[in-house]
Amino acid sequence: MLSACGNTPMGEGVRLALDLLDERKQEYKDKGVDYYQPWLVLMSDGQPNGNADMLEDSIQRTRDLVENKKLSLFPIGIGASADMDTLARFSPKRPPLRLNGLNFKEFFEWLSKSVSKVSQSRPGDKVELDIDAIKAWGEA
Amino acid sequence: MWHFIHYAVQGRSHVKNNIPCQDKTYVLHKHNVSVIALSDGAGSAKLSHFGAKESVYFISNHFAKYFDDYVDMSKTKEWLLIRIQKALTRKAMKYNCSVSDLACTLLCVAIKGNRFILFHIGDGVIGCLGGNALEVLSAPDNGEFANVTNFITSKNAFKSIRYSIDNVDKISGFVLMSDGTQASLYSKRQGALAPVIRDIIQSDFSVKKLQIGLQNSFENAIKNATSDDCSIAFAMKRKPSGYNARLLTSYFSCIKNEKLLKKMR
Repeated sequence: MLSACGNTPMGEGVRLALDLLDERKQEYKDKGVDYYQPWLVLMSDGQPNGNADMLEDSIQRTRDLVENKKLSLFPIGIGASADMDTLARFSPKRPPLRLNGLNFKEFFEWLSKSVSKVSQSRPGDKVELDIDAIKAWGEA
Repeated sequence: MWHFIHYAVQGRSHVKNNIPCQDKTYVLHKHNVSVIALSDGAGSAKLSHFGAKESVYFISNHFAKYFDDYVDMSKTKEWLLIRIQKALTRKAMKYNCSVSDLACTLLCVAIKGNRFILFHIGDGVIGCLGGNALEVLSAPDNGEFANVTNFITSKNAFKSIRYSIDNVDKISGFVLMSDGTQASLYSKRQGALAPVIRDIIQSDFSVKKLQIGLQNSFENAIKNATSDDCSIAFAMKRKPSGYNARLLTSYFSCIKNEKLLKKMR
């Protein structure tokens, strides 16, 4: 059972997520399973207060992956207290969006449809995300 | 003497979205050169079916004319790619589009005397049967992700060329297949071709009947394993000696039925 206690170890969380993605990709490689570019959704309603060095390492690692086209990142701030500046530091290509209210349902519906589009794409296909549909859950 | 069978079928997603089949195959025997070629047009490149058609036609006729120049290395793979790209540029002018609208992969094997030349850009597989053993001569080039590959028109095209010149004496057949066909006839995990490829190359059926069987199997079985276009081309060194009509229909309609194939051996 999860419980909130005021901590936001963003660096540690992102490191764990990237490590898990690497493990999964290796599993797919070992079994000869094709896979697509992974997506990382980073959501926060506050400011990171974990280990500062870990945060910097995770920011740099994420930026390197995005710039080398190994990862797509979707930074989302929730509520007025979300640290959009730190979210932006993770993401060299896509500015963070703030969730409209608590429109999680609309966000995950959009995310599901978007990922499905990618998983059905073939080499040479240009997958365009539904930008208009983002307005249902996010704002710049 | 080399004999050919080849086929391309429109994928289910292309039928649904009214997109033409972007896979093209071409076979040629000219100036004592035997050539098989296959090309898969890029998904969202609007005229890639024309690019694929031009690519297979151009490379086949080019190797028929200049085979010896490549064997003695007076012409190089880079020169070949430039010629193919120029052919696509001419087509782009004709269709009033950009060259990238004609983006496609390209697989080709050309044979003359006891030598063969292999040329491959992009995904898809080139294999051969040497003795009784199937061998992958050129594996798919997808990079890390399934929906990424290189095309003739890509910036990385020159770096991604797979090219070889070798002796053909111990080889009894070659196969080219697109990534759609890979779903049925290639194991990425094992890096191996399906055993039925060997059965087809070693088959005693006439070329005409093999061609009919190939078309039936692609229309009724292979294309159902994926939503993508599927294509394949074989060059077989053989002396066809007739066919057994009773076995032919079940042979191809059950192309993935290993138990039936074992009974027939």
